[in-house]
Amino acid sequence: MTKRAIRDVAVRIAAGIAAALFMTWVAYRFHFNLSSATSIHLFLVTAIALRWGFLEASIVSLLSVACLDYFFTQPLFRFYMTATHDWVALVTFESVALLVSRLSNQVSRHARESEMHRSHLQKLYELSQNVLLLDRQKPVDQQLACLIQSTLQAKGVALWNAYDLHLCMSGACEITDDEVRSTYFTERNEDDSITATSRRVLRSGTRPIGSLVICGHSLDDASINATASLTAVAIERARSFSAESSAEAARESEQLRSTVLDGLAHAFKTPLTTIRSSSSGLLEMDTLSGTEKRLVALIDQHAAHLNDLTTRLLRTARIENADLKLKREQIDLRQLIQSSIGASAQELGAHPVHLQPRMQRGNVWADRHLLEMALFQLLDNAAKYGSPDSSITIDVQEEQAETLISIRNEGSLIPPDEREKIFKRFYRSPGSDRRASGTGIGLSVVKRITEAHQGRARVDSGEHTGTTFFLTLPRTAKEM
Amino acid sequence: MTARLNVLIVEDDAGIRQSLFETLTALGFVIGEARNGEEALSRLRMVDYDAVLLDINMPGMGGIETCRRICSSYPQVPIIMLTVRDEEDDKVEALDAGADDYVTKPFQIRELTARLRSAIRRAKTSAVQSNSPVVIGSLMLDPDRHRVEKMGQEVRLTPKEFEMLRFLMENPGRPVPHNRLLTSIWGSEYGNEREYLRVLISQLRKKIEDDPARPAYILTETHVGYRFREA
Repeated sequence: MTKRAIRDVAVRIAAGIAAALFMTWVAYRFHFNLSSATSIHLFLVTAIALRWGFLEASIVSLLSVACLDYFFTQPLFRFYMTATHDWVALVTFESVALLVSRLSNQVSRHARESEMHRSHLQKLYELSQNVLLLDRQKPVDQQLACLIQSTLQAKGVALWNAYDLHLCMSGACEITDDEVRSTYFTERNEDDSITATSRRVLRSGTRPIGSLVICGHSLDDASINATASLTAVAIERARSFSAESSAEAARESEQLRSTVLDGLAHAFKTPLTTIRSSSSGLLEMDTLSGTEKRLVALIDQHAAHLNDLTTRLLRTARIENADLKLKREQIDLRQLIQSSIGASAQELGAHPVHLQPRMQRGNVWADRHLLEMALFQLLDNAAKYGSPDSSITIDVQEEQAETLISIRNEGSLIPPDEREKIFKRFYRSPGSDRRASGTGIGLSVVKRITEAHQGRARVDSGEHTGTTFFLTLPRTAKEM
Repeated sequence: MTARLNVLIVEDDAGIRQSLFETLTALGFVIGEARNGEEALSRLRMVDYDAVLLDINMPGMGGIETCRRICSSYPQVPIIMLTVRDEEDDKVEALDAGADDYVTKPFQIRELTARLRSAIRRAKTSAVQSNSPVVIGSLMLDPDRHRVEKMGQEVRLTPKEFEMLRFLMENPGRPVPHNRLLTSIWGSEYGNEREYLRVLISQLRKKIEDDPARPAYILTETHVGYRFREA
């Protein structure tokens, strides 16, 4: 008990004693009998118990018994009683006084407690309501710290967020930054009743995500815990909101890019058709001189090339589109690979293509068109980046859950840190533009196609082993 | 070619129209022009054309609907659709609507004229042939005797294989969509079982092609169907 509390109790006891003495004087002055005097004392003791507490009431009740004995029982003016009924009366009085004091004191304490509880709940409710109204466009941590401080009427609040290692303070907290962080690192909740400071680890589920220190507050343990939970939820919510909105933005920009590409590619087709039909028409008329003919042939050839690029771009745009729909069918991989090799004859040039002698047949349930595109792309890459005139080896292996297609070429070492990046759209390895022309789209298309089939695309590369691209397609996608 | 062939070009893009007009005229065709389906139908009422070159994407009536109307009013006039690559569904739809063939934009004039001439030839000869033997390259199919020969040697075919080969050889140079092949050989309740076709075609290729991996007779029209080479 603090000094102030002791002084308060002493003052109350003194006031109680004064009141008891005053009552005794009034009763004596107006010649009350014992029972009337007892009644007014009982009233006084009950009132003190209700208003102040059990200790004050008990002391006053003892004084009352003494006064009643001295002034109202025979023999008068002596602390002694001859009649048994006086004894009984005073003992009963004291018992009733103590009992009533105890009960009334309990009632008032409960009332006080529930009042306090209600006010804590009120604050928590207010806090949870305001947490929902935080401005998501601004940093949430600082807003949270201010909100907790003002709602809980605390002296100060410090909040440390372990995601972005950011510390926010509101109000005056006599605590160092390091202490706030250490709560997170030691994962210990502490309460200091002298400074009314509580430290809490903020958790999302069981995982710590930060720490909260509230100084100079009047809340109980449970309310502080609830505040910590609310804070953790608010931080998580803000994080998932920002993650979601950035994902949404990425999706939208991807969609837009696809739409623009699609539109552009289509728009290119019409003038290309005019150019191509004119150039090939001129060649067909066979009226040109040697030089003219060569030049027109050049126009024709490059219009065709431009058309191929446009077509590829158009396909890419469609494949990158979010709602890529697969037209799955049963595909014999050996046959598909053979026809892909035939279709890529021009790109393959002088590179001989070998199928592994132990290559398995491999039936997959996939979109033929898309799988052809992916294979074409890998063959094209192997021819472009492989050592000149070196061979390209294709293999198919059926494993328990997956079918593995591999396409290996010699040379074109891809360093380990490039192996993920080359599958990103528009990414080209440093120096690759000197080796071959490309748009940086091809491998992203391969990846997108395999992922659309719930498969994976990856690459292995070594100085001596060459470069091998792997496509993994799940065998469980559909059992025929 | 003795008589000059009369061809109607239906295309909304002025550049393509002009280029086709100039080149095809220079190559000996007589060209009529229409900017859309409605105009095409009214020109067909006035002039007898040997073939129609029809763009699939046009404002107004649209290529497919125009194709359907020309087919019902002028069934003897072959239609060649100008389509866009990667729009296989459009190609199938065009063939289903009655188009004789299609050419993918941008195309070479040589390819276009070859398709035009063969379509016109087919249209003029189709009425004549019935159950007479068909000879294409070194292959001979005799429907009456139910016999197929390759360089004079008999090729043994199952009934389904024979039917398929007969259907294809009676439509040489013409793309036949999957669904049409399926319904004509297996019956009208079939149409989506491409796997049947693939198996049958690969068996047939093994029997009639020199190199089944590089077929010379039965050519694949990716995502559309098959085309038997021309005589």
